[in-house]
Amino acid sequence: MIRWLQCFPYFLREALKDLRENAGGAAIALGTTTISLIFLGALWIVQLNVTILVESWRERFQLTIFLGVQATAGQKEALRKAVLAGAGVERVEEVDSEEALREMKNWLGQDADLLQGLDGSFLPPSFRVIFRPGQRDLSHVERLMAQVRTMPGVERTRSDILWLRRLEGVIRFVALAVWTLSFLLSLGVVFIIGNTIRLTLFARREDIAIMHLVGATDLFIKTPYVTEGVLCGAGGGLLAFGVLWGVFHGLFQPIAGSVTGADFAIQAGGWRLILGLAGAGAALGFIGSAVSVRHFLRGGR
Amino acid sequence: MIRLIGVWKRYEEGGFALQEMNLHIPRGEFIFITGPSGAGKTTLLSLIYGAESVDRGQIFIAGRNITRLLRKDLPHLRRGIGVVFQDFKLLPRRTVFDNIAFCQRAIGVPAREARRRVYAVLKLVGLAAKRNTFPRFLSGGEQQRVAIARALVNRPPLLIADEPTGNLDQTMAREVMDLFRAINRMATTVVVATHDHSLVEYMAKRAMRLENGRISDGR
Repeated sequence: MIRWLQCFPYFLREALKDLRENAGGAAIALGTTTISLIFLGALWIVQLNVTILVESWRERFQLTIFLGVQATAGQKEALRKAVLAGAGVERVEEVDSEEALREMKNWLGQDADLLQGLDGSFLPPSFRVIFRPGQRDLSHVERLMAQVRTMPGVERTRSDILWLRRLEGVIRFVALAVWTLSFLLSLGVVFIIGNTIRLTLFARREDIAIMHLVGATDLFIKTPYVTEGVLCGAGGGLLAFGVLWGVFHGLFQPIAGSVTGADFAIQAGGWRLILGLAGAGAALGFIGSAVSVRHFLRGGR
Repeated sequence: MIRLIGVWKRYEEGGFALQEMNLHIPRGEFIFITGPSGAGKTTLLSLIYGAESVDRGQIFIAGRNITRLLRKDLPHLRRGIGVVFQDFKLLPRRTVFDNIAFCQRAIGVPAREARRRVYAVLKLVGLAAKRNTFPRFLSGGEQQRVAIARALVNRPPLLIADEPTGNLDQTMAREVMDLFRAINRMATTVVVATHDHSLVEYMAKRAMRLENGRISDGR
């Protein structure tokens, strides 16, 4: 291992020399790897933002329990205790009819004059249940809703649970689609880099035969070619990041900022995307080149 | 140095390359293996440096049974054997120096040590002045001397040459043989396969004749 590490500058030089001498093939491999990884990166960005969006909605999730007009103080107290004992519940806020009317006016904004002359009696009092961050699990909410719905003084409950369930389904679908497409694109990258290395190996078959003859180990023969694959993959990853970064900041963000509003900013992935794309490229390059070299050497002795 | 005991080897397309071969080559010996084309000379050498495996029998190199060698141990066997071919097998896009240095780097010799060894071996074969020349600018004899230098650079105790003068004229062939003689004097065991009897007579060394995969003369 120490000898291998000592020889690594030699492996790197050989890999760079091969890339230089096979510039055409290397450029094609780098280009197609970059394009594949651009798609991969774009899919990651989509998945990241859908997840962030749904998480932000989930964080704002509330359960509202509407009370009957005749609900007694005792019933309210029993209900408050039952709700606070529920899993994941942080606090309960009581909203009386006047408070509900004020909120409605705020929500209507310039159209608040529609409510001119009305008092809050047409709005039922309610309990607003706020869940602890990170514990806004839908199963907790469903259990609590089922529990309180039959309690005396409760008229009905309301939550965005159905909507959130659908969104979670969308997230799962997006994740599945992203992983499936990522897998297929990865296969493409492995194939392209593997093929490029295969061509290099073919061009270097005499060198390899002589290396075998003089007693070079397989590891010593393999390493420059695997390094070449890793460089190709990592280079493609970095280029893909550069393109995505340019498109995101130069074109997409100015347009998207005006569409999504102030409460949600689309994320580009930052350093995680650089590491992810360069790492994925390097890993795929490693797999492609290692498979090619292994296959080539198997018939080489 | 080399001992073959009851070695059998069958050609892939059928027929025997070697049959019940028994052979002993002591350390420091210079031996010719002669015989017509297809007699099994190349197969015998390939078995000795591990390019092929025996069908039956045992081969010992420096006391080590190479028929039981694991694939991962093959490089270590080959580091102790220098091999020279009729067609030189030089890399055309590397200079004389790089052709030899490349083999040193391939077995992990540090660059500085490799340079020192390459100069020494080029001096031995008389090509130090042509170290920066590409093989295509060398004569056949010079190319073969580069190939010999490459085979010797790892300081192997055994040198194998398969028809090393097949592409050379008589004068160059004798130059190469003189070089082998000098190498043999440095205690390196030399095994040369050839069908050129004039070289055997010129060198006046032990010779063994192969015919149809069997030793027919000179055991």
